[in-house]
Amino acid sequence: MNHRHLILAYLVTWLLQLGYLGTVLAGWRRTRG
Amino acid sequence: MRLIQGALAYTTLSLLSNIPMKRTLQFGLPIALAILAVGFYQAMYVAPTDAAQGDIFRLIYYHVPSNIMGLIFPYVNFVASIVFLATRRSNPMRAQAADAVALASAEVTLVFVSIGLATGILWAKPIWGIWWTWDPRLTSVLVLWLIYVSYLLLRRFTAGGQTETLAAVLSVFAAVDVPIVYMSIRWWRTQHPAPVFFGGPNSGFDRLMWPAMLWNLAGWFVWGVMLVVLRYKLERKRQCIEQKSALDALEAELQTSP
Repeated sequence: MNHRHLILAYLVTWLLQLGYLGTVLAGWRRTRG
Repeated sequence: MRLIQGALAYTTLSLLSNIPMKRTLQFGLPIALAILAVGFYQAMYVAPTDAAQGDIFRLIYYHVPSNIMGLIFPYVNFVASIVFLATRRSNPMRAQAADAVALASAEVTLVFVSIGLATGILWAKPIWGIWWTWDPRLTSVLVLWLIYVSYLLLRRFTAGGQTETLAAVLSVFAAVDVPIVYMSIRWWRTQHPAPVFFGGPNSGFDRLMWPAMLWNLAGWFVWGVMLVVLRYKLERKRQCIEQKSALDALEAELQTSP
């Protein structure tokens, strides 16, 4: 139980951060095209 | 103190705005990832297991830095919004740059506050036995999250020339909520654990836990600044494209009119 929540918390953190970085970079690519 | 921090961040961003977007990514991303890798190693393998909570305590090395970033970036948003309100008539070019900083910092704040809430909920279930409670800290953070959701919805879905001004006014409410979030666990001692930083003589950590916390704090700070700079540059580019197409349309109108 403990470990599942810990792994999930780290995964959620990276998913949200990388997801946001991805949208910014996608927007950048669109402005170049 | 917070205002000075915000002003410093704004100045730094202004200086960084001359660096190309690709260069920002090339420098910022490896530095942030390297610090975060050390932070991850410290949090997972070096920091001791908490005697009372076990391994779930290691979640705090992401939860606390995310929430601290969620209290720093609203002030970048606030200072930029004040600069926008003060200069929107006298210096529209500066106001547009300030508005881009405000938007970038609002989005990054929302990412960090969302992570703070999500990780807090995931910690609360095994430790408290409940996902959520209407504790003053949790409630005030939720209010901050809702303010920034409203801020971004306002910017995205309203038309007309007053959108940026209304958003800037909304950011003042967020700036009022931030000290309430910070002080909530000092004013009301309810469900949420006592503060780790500046919480008095009995607060803080075991000294072996500090490196994990400080490396992650530094890593997420560099990551957050990088995201704000990248988003700022993207918004400036969007503003330029919008202005150019407006000018082109005006030119075409002038050429076709008799």
